[in-house]
Amino acid sequence: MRLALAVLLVGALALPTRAAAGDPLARASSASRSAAYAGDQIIVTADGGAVHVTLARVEHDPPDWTRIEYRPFGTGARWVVIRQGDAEIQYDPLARTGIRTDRIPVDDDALLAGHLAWLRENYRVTSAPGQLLGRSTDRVVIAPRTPDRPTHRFDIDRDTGIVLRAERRSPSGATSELAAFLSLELKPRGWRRGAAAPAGLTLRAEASRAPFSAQDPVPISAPTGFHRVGAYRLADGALEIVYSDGLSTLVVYERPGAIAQPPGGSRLARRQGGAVWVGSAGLRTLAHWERHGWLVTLVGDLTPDTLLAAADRTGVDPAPRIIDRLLAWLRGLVASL
Amino acid sequence: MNDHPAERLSAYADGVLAPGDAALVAAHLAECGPCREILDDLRAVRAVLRSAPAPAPHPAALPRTLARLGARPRSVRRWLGLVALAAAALVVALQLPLAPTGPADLGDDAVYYQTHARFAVSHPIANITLATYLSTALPYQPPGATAPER
Repeated sequence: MRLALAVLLVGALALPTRAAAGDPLARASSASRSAAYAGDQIIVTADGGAVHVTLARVEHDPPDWTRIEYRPFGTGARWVVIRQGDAEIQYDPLARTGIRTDRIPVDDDALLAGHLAWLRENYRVTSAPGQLLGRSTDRVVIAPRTPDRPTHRFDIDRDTGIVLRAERRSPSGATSELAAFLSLELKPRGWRRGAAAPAGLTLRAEASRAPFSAQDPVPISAPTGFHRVGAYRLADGALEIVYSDGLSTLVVYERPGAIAQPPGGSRLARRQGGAVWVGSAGLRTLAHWERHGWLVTLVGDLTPDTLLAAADRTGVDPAPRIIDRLLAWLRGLVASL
Repeated sequence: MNDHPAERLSAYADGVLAPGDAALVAAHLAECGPCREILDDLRAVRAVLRSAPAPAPHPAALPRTLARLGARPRSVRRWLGLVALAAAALVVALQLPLAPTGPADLGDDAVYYQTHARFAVSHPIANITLATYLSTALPYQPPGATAPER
């Protein structure tokens, strides 16, 4: 009887694993924990007429050692990222200076299952067999059900789950980001065991970030399909609240303050309640406004109209009078003298 | 001209030779096929270089540039303060409600976008391929290098 129960229990536990094994997205999500490899990638970002190209040398040894050396096209300098365990360092290999930071721990199976369910709610997923770098792939196209976020295309290696090519394209098609392996060499697990960061680097620590579980000062009405997945308090009192629709990330920043300083490159969008500043960088869009003594900033891979609608639903304070702005500026001036 | 002017071909291609030297090189090229081929190669290389995109600035330059933009001489601050006081007095009288029109903080947008990219990299579906393009889609700046201050 005990044996039968044990078999049933083991079988039940194994079911999700077997189901995920045939799913290219699940395999891609867990590839970094199982596949060891080295390769060269080309990374292209196209934003209107501007195109930026970077080459990257990637070395990975599961479960969690990764080294990426970025070599921008042209005469731009290199930089290196090393991730190991929960730590990450980024440094300039010539100046030998950089920063050490803690990685954000979200990659666990339960969360992954939730994300994949949300992904299927918010996107249409189609898959077809393909070939890339002489390897069999699943060519997965993930198209949004609401036309306000990018369409993704992944070429996922059928044997290892490694994403050989990833592409994102904005709804208008004017902006796209592409990362593709030019060469890939599979390695035995443990091939970089004992690897360490170079000695002699001058690293400084990033400001700390602590989990935050209290009520948000300004509850956000997030765009359709986004779910809250984490919240953090920064050393300066600001909050970072993270949402996901299963594939795309939306980050909300809330800082105490009454007078918004528009982020660089943004434009003013007048709303019925007040004013919202909107900007973009590549596929990312930013919206920034004031609400009840807090400055709220949304950043996500969404169209400006979607972020403006979220601002309208959340609430936008009337624009401050110029006297309020001048007084705030004078207070800052006095403080700086 | 029997000697090949190899050392002057590059300057000739750039048009920076003195007129007399340029004439000598041109005369040699008229009779020398190998030198014409070298010149063609030089011109082809220059065409490629001219068509290449402008190199991106060194990633570490961004925080330094922002720091310089933020610096302002103290005497200027005081002068601006007097002007602001005068303007404040005028506006107190008018009490005009206006939209925010403060100076753009050039550092904030990069910090927000890059923090967003870092969270996106930690997304379960994001593996190393995604991480690389998310990390390079924006001007590189070590996280926390310029925390937004308001």
